[in-house]
Amino acid sequence: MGMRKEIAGGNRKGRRFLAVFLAALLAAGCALSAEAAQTSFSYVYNSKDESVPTALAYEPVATVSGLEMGAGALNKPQDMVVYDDEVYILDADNQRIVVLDRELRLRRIVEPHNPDGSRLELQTALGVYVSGQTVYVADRGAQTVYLMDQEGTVTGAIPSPDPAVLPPDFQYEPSKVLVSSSGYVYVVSVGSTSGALMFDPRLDFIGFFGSWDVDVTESLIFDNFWRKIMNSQQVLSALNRRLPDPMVNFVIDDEDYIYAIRGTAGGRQQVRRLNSQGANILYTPSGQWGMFSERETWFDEQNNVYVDSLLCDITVDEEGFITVLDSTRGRIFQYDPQSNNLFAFGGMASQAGTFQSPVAIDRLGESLLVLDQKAGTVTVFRPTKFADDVHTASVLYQDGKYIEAKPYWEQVLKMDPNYELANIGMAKACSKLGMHQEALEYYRRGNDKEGYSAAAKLLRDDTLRRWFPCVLTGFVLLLGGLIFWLLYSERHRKNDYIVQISRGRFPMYCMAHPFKGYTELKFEKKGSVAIANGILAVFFIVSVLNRQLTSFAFSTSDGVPFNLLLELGKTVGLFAAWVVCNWAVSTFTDGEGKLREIWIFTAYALLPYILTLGALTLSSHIFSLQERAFYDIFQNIGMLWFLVSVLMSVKEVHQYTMKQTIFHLILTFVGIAFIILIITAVYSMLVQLFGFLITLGNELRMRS
Amino acid sequence: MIQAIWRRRIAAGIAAFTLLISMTSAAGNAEREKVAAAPPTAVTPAGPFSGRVENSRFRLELKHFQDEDGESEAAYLVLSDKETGMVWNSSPPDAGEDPLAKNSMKTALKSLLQIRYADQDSNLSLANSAVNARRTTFLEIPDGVRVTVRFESEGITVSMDISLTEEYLKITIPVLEIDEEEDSGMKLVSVIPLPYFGALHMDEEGYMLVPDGSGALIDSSRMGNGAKTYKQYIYGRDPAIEQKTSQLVTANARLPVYGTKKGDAGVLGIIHTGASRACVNASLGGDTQSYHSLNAELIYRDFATVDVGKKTYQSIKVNLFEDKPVQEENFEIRLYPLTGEDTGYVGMARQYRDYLLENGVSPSASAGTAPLYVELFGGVKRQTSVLGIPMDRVVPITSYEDVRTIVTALQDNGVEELVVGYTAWGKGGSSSRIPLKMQHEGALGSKKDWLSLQEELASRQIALYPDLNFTDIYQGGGFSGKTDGIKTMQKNPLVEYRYKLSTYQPNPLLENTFLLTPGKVRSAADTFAASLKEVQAAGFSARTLGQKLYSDFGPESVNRMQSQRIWEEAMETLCGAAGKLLFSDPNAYAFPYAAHLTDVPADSSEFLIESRSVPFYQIALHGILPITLPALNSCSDVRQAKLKALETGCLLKYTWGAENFDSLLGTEMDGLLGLDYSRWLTEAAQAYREVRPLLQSVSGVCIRSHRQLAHEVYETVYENGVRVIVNYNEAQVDAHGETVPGMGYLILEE
Repeated sequence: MGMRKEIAGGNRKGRRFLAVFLAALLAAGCALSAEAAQTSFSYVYNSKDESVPTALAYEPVATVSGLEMGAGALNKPQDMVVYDDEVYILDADNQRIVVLDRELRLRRIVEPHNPDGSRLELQTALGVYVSGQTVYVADRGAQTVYLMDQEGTVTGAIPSPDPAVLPPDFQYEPSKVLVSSSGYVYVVSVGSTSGALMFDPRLDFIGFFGSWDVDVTESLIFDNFWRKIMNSQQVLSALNRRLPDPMVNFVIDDEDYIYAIRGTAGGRQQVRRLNSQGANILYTPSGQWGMFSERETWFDEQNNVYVDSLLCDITVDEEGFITVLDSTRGRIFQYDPQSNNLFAFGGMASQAGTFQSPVAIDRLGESLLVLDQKAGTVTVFRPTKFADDVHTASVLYQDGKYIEAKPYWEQVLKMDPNYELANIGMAKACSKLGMHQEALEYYRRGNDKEGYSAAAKLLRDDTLRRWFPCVLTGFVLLLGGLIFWLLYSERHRKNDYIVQISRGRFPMYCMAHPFKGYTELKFEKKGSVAIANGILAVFFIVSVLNRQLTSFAFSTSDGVPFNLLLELGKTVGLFAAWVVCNWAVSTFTDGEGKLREIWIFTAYALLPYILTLGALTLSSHIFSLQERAFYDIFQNIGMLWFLVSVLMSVKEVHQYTMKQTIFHLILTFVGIAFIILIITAVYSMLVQLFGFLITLGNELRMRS
Repeated sequence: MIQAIWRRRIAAGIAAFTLLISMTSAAGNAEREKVAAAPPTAVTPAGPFSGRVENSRFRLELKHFQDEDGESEAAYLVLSDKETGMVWNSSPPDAGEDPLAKNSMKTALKSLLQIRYADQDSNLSLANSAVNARRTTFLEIPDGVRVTVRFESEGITVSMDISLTEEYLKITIPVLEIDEEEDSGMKLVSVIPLPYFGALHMDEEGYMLVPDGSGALIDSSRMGNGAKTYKQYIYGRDPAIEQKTSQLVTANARLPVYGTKKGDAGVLGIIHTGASRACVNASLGGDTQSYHSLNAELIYRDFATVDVGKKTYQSIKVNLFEDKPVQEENFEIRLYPLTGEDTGYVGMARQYRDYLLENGVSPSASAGTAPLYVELFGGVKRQTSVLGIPMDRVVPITSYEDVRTIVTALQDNGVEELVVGYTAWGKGGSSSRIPLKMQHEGALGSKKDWLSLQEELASRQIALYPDLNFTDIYQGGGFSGKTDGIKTMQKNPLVEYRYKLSTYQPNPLLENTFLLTPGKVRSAADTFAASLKEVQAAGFSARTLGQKLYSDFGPESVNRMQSQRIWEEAMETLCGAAGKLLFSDPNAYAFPYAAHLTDVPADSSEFLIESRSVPFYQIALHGILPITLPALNSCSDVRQAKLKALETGCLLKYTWGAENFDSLLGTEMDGLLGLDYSRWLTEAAQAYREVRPLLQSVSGVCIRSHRQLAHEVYETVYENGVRVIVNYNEAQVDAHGETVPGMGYLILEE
């Protein structure tokens, strides 16, 4: 299947510029076809953090080199910023800033020089920013941020603040700079764990801004633990110093919020939207921090390394859509203001739309520009109609205009029927229009359990309301019948006093009377292995049914392929392990239970659990997530019942006192853990052995 | 004493046994004979070459480079085209004075032949024939010269036969004449004949055409955006030798062609024999020498780089080589100097078209027809829950009933001509079984439904092409991957993985497939063809035969050249039984057996070295075979696709399904997007009606010329005088006196 893309001008102004732009490109002699390769692709991360192919979102329409710009070849350009419809490229190794117009043709060159006319040598200029008439250049080697006018004359500088006000061992190494609308200057310093440096409009240092919190992970907790009990200097230095991550780059939006990115891979909060207190106000609708980078790990077998996903630049548009650039994988990810991933595209290669070493990204109108350092080129990406529809629909959706967004979501679904956000958007619109059944289906396709359960609840309430009279009548009749039967049977039952419980009815009896049932079972010896096995089989079946048939809203295993061995292991396997451990432990706690008896007793004790599972499966279709409390009550009652049964079955089969029972149970758990440990160890050893044998075989074959 | 009766029994047993053995070995031999279709013919040279040979069209002369002492050393060939007056050199005559080139590079430039070889440590190097100028002999052969080069330090001798015909220069590499000396231990890997034939000087105007996708140009003047080289294997890389992890999606080189436009002259190279074991190389000059080069590399003994110590975290890379080099057929390349006024990519396309017509392709594009192509996706196999029990089942995307519904809906919307391809229709759905007979899939409908569908479409005169998968082995098809699948060069069964877009890693949740051995593919095709008593369908689609070509290193090993012959025989058998086939983006060897070509690539991979994509493929094939664009579903703008259809005469195609699209998630089919036909129907019918008049008027008519008038504005002229100008810009454009609306077109009849 080929993929195609198109040039989509969003609005008329954009289209006109596009036309001029393209015409100028022809004039500049750089003519890459406007129809992109059918080899571009896009994917998106769904709510389960899996990558899923989606329709083409942004297509590369041109790759412009320095020569084609008319500026001569760019030499290791470090940064790029778009200001006032002009593109500024920091052509660091050529000691200049190249300024291009909207068509990426050279407008002028800014060569930094001192007021007296002498050239200013940039040492390691890494960042450029423009505000008003001033061009800011962050020079890490010179440890200064230069301010210059549009001709390149230096008008000011921001050297290192007084070390007395800085943290100890702080190295001022400015790499990126930005300026707020009120004139405050923010500077990212390489490796600074205290955040960005803030300067007031008079360029006086006023403090730090926006440092990250340290991620609390298990390894961090362990390290802290070791650090507390170890004293040796060697050990302490060997442990990682857990410092906050340094800021790598940032951008400021129209409302003067700063979006900052950090340079470590993985985890959440790679991007933060900082308020004036430096706190992150960017989170998902469920209140979590967003994940902003490649979510699937990539192990490069060729070079035996994990390829990280490191962000290097970010850009934000008026609607709050965030686009980030990943420098190691060459990917561009775009998110909506609620941190939902919209698209992912790009890569590292030498095709149009891929890069050799991308360093900067910025917006130019509707397009995205990416600066490739090694190739010295700027790639222009244009959104497709699909991306435009997603954007329009998303903006309407966030404003709560669900119904207005519906036609756009339909266009999105036409291109990709599985696009989650579109399905959720359609679901909300359908809900608003009262079409609850359709909403249910859309929520399911959009993997939104809360939405699904809410819609199911509305549907259920609707149905109940409609059938209320019938239901009420039926209920009254049923109640009447029950009372009548009880009264009637009561009269006849007075004759039976001693009830003999048959073999077949014993399981139910044990379930209903856990405290005396097992005692009677032990002494009357009416347990049956056949019935026990039958119960075990039912246990397995009900387990599987619970897994498969639980309502979508409550299900934890939708989408996960069914593994028969695993399910068997979780039910029958665990049961067998329990019985064996129980019996084994009973040998040295002087239990009286024989293996056969333990098998039977434990199987009978399973009945309450089976009933609970069944009830839960059924009730998951009746309750909504808001009424989860009821669902949980069912579960808790059932579990309690089951635990009591297990306790009593163990106590009676071995004829223990309560204290002995508890002791025995603890030992049994330890025994099971032991079994699992051994199995795991043997398995991993076998894997190693096979790996070795296979490599050996390979090598022998190669050499022969 | 053995009783008489026992003696008789033993004798009978021995007789039967011997008979059995001889029969199987005879069968085996017969099988092998069938495969070796064209044994390499040997041309016996008649004596030393006189220095010149000519016919009514060409003259070929042998000249020598002069070194400083005035003594002649390396030689080069000069081809003079009497018809056009153009002169082609096999090496730039002033290679010795190249200011950028060092001596080693100058030697390369002066070479008639380059070889790639492996030494005892399996390291690869390139050797130039010019170094061995004194050990190069020129012998006369009919209409040409045999150049034999003995590469002394490598111990390898290679011959190259260059002869003239009335239309082209024929270069043959006789494989049986290749000699590798035992004691040198070097192995010949590949041969590059005439590596600098028609080489463009970096200051010269012109371009190189490479067979990437629809065709792409590498402009002489553009700096390649940092990229310096291009290399693509014709028909894709052989998976049995090298399993490339799917690192980014590129278009394929489906056509064995390459060409150079040099000033006013142009030449097209076509790899006539051995294309399956060839790759096209291009490199830009400007660094180590002043010339660009474009040539074909013919692989004699293939190799792959293998990591032996993968599981032990130590990377030990080793080069593995094929045991048996090519013995069955000689390589042949034909270089066609172009005549006519157009010596650019259009002229090259027309030359390729003529070549196809002379080599088995019969025109089947009938005049006045312009159908809409619809590919319907049948069913996807996945794990579903039946009453709570999880099972692997086929979930219908388009059932047989749905096909009827969609076709009716299209006809009701004014689509008069329709060609329907039906993929994943048979037993197993998307995990389709190797077909030994027509087997319907229960989840899509009953057998009656299937037969009545075929009858109904036939009665409505809608051509139905069910797809047949002869190469991919899925689980549960009666064929086992381990025993019936091909083995790689490392003697493992070849496993085809499905890769994730995000991490380029194999997706562990998806089923891996194997590839069926060529011998079994052949017999499956034979069995299937024999089982067809009465074909209701218009024909069949053979997507995988057209797209996949591989060798086998198992017990009945075959190389790719032999596989290609087997594929051709299989396609021949299928054509004989069911009429010509429908192919989707196939390799060129499928053209003689094709009734329709769908999914013809609309552009190239857009490698940075390429300046632009050109519709070489479409210009060559339009008018002789019906061709379509890739499915418009993946295209986000129907306007652009319509323009492409008008620009190239390609018909429109959609890929659709009816229901259950979310079942595609989590399977290998999740890349199929935009399948819901109900959302596309009206738009598709509209687009069809809009482009139909033009496509009808040019159906069966070849393209005479194609050129760019302005940025993103192209003009195509058909042989019957119809002239189309398309404008891909948003704004309207004035081009050569005509005003073309933005994202619009203009049709002029001359």
